[in-house]
Amino acid sequence: MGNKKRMMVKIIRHSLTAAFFVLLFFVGVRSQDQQTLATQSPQAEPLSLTEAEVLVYLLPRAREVRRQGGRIGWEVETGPSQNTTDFYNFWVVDNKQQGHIGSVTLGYFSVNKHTADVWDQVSDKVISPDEELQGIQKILRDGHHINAQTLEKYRDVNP
Amino acid sequence: MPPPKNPCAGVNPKAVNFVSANYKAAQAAAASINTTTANILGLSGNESDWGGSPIAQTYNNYFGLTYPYPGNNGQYASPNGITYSIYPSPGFPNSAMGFARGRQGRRVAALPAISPETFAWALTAPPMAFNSLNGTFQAYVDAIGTARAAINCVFGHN
Repeated sequence: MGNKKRMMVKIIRHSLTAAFFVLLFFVGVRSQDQQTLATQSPQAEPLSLTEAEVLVYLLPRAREVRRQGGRIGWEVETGPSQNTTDFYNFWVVDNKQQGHIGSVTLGYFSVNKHTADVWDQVSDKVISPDEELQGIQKILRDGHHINAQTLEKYRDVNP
Repeated sequence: MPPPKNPCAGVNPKAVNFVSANYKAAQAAAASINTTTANILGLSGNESDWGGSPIAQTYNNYFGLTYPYPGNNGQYASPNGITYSIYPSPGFPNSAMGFARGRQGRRVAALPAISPETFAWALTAPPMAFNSLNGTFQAYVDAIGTARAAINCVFGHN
């Protein structure tokens, strides 16, 4: 009888231990699932044309033109020499200078749809953003789920 | 002895193609206003994105010349809000001569020196500047530097 009782206690003890480990296993799996869900970033989305126009409008040189009383205008370039797959390309001018005999070109700028970087097409270089432009780029990148991996992937693509 | 430096290394390929295609016409326009070929190519490179802009490709205007500028044969109202001169084909020589024949050409011809800085200053300093927008002086000087590098790449001199 004493042996039977000891045996029962042993079985119950082992069952409880096994149940505890089974519980731990499931808790572990569940928390791992939750972790995976949390770190899986949503798909990055490209910028819209309007968002690219905002970036061009807020370029430091464009802001300076507006500060001096000018008005920024642009023509979207879609010619065969343009990389329109990865970029929105703009010819930017001060269009307040109606009747000016000469040139009102501010520059040719390209906005990378995947990174929100802005290129100066003539110098073939990315424009160093000032604090304001950096702020807008961060908002757009966050909103479009553009992470470091996406930036690395598309940063070297030329307009 | 180290190998000779590649003169084309690091030079914007768009500028190299542009210089190859337009050097002779730029040389003629430059001679007519007593300036350098690099100055003309740099100015045009900046105003036309090295010949790739729609106004250069479609309307033969390689200098961003508003309407009316000498030598034009029509006008183009751009969605950017400005009306531009259209030039007959071939675009680069015709718009270059249009630039040279205008008031700005005479201004350049009267300069005491032909350095990129003097040329860019003459075109960007008010009153009656060719292009007085913020940052244009430096943009012209930089583009002339690129044009010189491209000339060195294509012809081995600048």
